[in-house]
Amino acid sequence: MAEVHIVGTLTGASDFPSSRLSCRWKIVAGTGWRLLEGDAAGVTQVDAPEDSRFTVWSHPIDIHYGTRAVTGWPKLQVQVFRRDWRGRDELYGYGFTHIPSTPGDHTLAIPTWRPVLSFWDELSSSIFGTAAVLKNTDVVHAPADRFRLTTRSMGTVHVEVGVVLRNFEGYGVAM
Amino acid sequence: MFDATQQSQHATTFYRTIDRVENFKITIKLRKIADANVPLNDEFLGLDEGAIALAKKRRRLLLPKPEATVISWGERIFSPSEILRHHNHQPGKGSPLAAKYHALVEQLIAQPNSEESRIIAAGTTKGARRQIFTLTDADAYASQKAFTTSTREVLVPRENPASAMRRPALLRKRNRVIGEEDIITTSPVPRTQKCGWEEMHIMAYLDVEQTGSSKENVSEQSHYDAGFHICLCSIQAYDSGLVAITPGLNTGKKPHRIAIGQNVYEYTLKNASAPITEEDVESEWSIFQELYRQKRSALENILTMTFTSLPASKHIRFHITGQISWAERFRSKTLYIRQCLMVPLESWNIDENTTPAQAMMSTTQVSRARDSHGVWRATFGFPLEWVLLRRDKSTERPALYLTVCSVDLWNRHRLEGYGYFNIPEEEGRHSMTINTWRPLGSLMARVREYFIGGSTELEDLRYINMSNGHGQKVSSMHGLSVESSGAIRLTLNVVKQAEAYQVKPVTGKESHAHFAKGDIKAISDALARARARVKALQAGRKAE
Repeated sequence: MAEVHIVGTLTGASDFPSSRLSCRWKIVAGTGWRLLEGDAAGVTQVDAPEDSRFTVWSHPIDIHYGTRAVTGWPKLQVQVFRRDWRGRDELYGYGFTHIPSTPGDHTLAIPTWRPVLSFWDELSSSIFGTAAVLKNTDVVHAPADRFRLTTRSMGTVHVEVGVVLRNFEGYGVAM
Repeated sequence: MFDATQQSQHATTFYRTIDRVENFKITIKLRKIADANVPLNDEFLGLDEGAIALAKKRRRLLLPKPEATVISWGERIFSPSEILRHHNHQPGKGSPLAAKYHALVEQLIAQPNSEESRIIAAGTTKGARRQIFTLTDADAYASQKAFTTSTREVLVPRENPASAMRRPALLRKRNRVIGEEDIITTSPVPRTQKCGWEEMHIMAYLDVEQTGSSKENVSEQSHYDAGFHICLCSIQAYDSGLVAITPGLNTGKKPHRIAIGQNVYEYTLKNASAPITEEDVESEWSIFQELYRQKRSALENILTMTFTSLPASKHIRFHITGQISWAERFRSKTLYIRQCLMVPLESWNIDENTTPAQAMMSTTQVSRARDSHGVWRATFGFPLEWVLLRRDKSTERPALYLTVCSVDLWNRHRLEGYGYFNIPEEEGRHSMTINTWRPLGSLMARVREYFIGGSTELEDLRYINMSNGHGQKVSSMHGLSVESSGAIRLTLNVVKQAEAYQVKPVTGKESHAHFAKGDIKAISDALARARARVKALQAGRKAE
């Protein structure tokens, strides 16, 4: 069984229409993967930055996986929420990235999107602060068709991650 | 065991211990150095050595004997006034703590020749020989000023004579402070929430002649309190191993000093904890090692030795993961991408054994672009995951064909661009930008496209990648007029698995066993072999 350490930081977000954001993240891995140490999910604080160009979270990620297969390589799924002036959290973006399989440090940028509805539903959601969300967030990272889903492009979530691998070479895996 | 992290004469000093605080012991020596009969001033009058020695001798004779006590952490020593108070405690009244102390004091009194029994016999605290006592966490002693500067005021630092001469006024001022501060309250005091730390105080009961108003303040409460209660030292032990001692342990020769009127006392605090022994160090380390060993073995029990089996010899399994990140600079702002992975089945397989039902063709969502730094960008975040098997060393590679389309307000779909890329051979992370183009139809077709919709499309997608797909000798797209379109951003991670990449674990036992055993014969043989090889090589070079 091979082992993967994922150590990194959820640095922050940029290019969102509002910069008062928080992030809910989780790491999803396939069936052959076993979480040995660490938390595979978390929620960051809400950051209201002075400089609205970059929201800073600096949220730590430290996970240790054991695996029986290369398939189902861990993916980082993020959900960005915006805190409005009434203190409500509104969905602002979904995004995902595969954790790089090459050992070493990586700087990743996760593009995000949010589902949109018809014009009238959008109007009501902007008034009542009820943004459309996915019923099943697996859609975000599952390689399946997404037609019939309309989305709006949102900003970028920045992640810095270091990957440490163990024992893969014994199974003939080249990274 | 104890390490001072900060040194100061009178302020709180912090120490760090890795041992339990229960093993902490402190030695305190209390000595009276001056009173009304033996004023402090004469200490500085005699300047020659003989006079100083004489003064010291006189001092020793006139003043009571110094007191030294070793106090361990949490030890409760009763003051003379407490002994009287607890002795006279009526059972059934007061708090359980008072009842407990009553029992303890009775036990002590029962012992013949003890200090306690002497005090009880005398019936007064006057002339009690023992002055040092302690208060622990259980006692409701609130030394609110322990953290403030007033503690420092109680302690008169020993300074050079010149400044000491100028200080009668200051001393008078301090007397007042002492009198007001140290009052042991018998009623419960609202204590600060103690979480993660414990506290004890080393106190002194000083039986001195009192003058002035301070007496009324102190002895109003009880007639047992004939003298002063002074906090000599407060110790706070934190769970983290931090020990704060106010004032700190004496390092040099300078003792701490307190003054009550003309009565001046000196005291020293010394760490009396037993130093850590070799066996203790060893046993601690063995505990740590055992912990790590057990953690490791628990982890190994969880980790099974199975792994996806290697592909057949000379076959390479490709694990490809990635995503279509975004598309930008397209003329339309509502885009979607259709992608299709074409695998040359002559030399490649789709590995359905490890991952069944792989999507070779899929469509992303319809994404509305946003202006990001002057560029219209539509994000997709669409995952791509395949497991492929390469059977032989052909140069042909699977190609991903991308078709970008747009939807307009009237739900008309239009082609925006074609692009392709070959799956990279090298393992690792690949980020690439794929520029796309779209066929430009005739003028008539373009007019029709504008008003009715629909667009000129390729019949066969493989035409994009003709040189590979058709195996022609010359790649020619002559006659096809195209218009360049936007770009697509892709990220791919490629992981390969094959027998050739397998690294057999080289165990030290096999290759270097004789070195470990110290087998001289084997080592000398190996040396001889190496020398012979070097000679052979040199001979070969000369021959050349």
